[in-house]
Amino acid sequence: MSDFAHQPRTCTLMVVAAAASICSLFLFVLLKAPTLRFTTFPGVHNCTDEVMAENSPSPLPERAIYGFVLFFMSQLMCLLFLVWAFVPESWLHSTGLTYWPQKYWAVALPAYLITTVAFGYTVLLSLNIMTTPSLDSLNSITDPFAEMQDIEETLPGGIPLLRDLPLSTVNAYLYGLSTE
Amino acid sequence: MAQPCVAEFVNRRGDPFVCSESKHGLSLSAEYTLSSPGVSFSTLICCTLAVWTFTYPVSTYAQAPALLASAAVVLMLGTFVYLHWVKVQHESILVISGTGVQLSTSFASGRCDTHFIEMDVVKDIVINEGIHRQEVIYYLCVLVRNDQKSDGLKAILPVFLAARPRLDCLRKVYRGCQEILHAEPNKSTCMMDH
Repeated sequence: MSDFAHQPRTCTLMVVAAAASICSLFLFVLLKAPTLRFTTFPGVHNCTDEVMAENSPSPLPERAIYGFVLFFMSQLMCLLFLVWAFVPESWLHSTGLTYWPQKYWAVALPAYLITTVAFGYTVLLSLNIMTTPSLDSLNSITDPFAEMQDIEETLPGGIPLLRDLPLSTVNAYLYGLSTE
Repeated sequence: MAQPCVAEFVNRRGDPFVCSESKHGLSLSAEYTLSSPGVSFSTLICCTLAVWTFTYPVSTYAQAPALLASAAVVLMLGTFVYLHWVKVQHESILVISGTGVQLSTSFASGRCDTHFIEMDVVKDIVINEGIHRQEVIYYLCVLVRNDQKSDGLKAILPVFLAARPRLDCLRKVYRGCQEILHAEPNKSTCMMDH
């Protein structure tokens, strides 16, 4: 508890301010992305850039920005995590910052994540199997929408409406006495 | 006049079974019985030997002779339960025109479980496809209506769940049942005149 009283708050505040400025820089880039041009698209005019980009199937400039931000932040977070995990506590304290998370979490968090992934695979598969309708469930044959559909008469020479065929009809067609 | 017709098919697992078809009159009634082979003697011997080979060393090592006796009792009770509730010998569907559909399952111990559905509430007998465990199977089922007037489905009753027939046998049963279900009323009264 005495560490808390001696914590060099100024240094911590400087680190926080640096992180905040980096975040704000990237937020600025994100929000202003549509109006900034990092590449030139062939055949796109200078004015009405956004309209032209929206009408074409090619990716929008925002996507490149998002991708770059994601890449950079993930790499930075990974680097920070590795630095904190491997650098001895004495060196970390010598920088002036003493309020670090316990090193226990450097092993615990990855362990939790791996267990979550394994759990996710198992649980997703089990949920899929559990929600499969059983052989005697009415859901394997019909549902409220199919029961409520109107069956209108087709005009002669016309195309029949798209609708759910009753199972009896399908069976007669596939396995009935007129087939072989 | 009954014309029984017996044919051998292969079930979904690859084991053979027998399908016996018995028709009466001209589209008056039809009964299809699927018979699986019973519990073979070799299976029984193997189970007994397996239990004995496992329990005898354990009971000798742990010096608990009661273990062997209790294993024998458990094996006997297990066999009774299996024969009475699990092992299906025959499964049959009997369709009588104008009257109804009867589904019956008979177990190896002789117990017979029947279920009768009136023709008023039988909507149709169809071959449906469904997901059973990890595979998609064809199975015959009776569609039951809510009541005589409405057309809404109340329930689906799958048939031949233990015999596990493949599509070839199911088509034969399906056609026979459809013949009875869609028979004209005057044909069904032929038997009464004789």
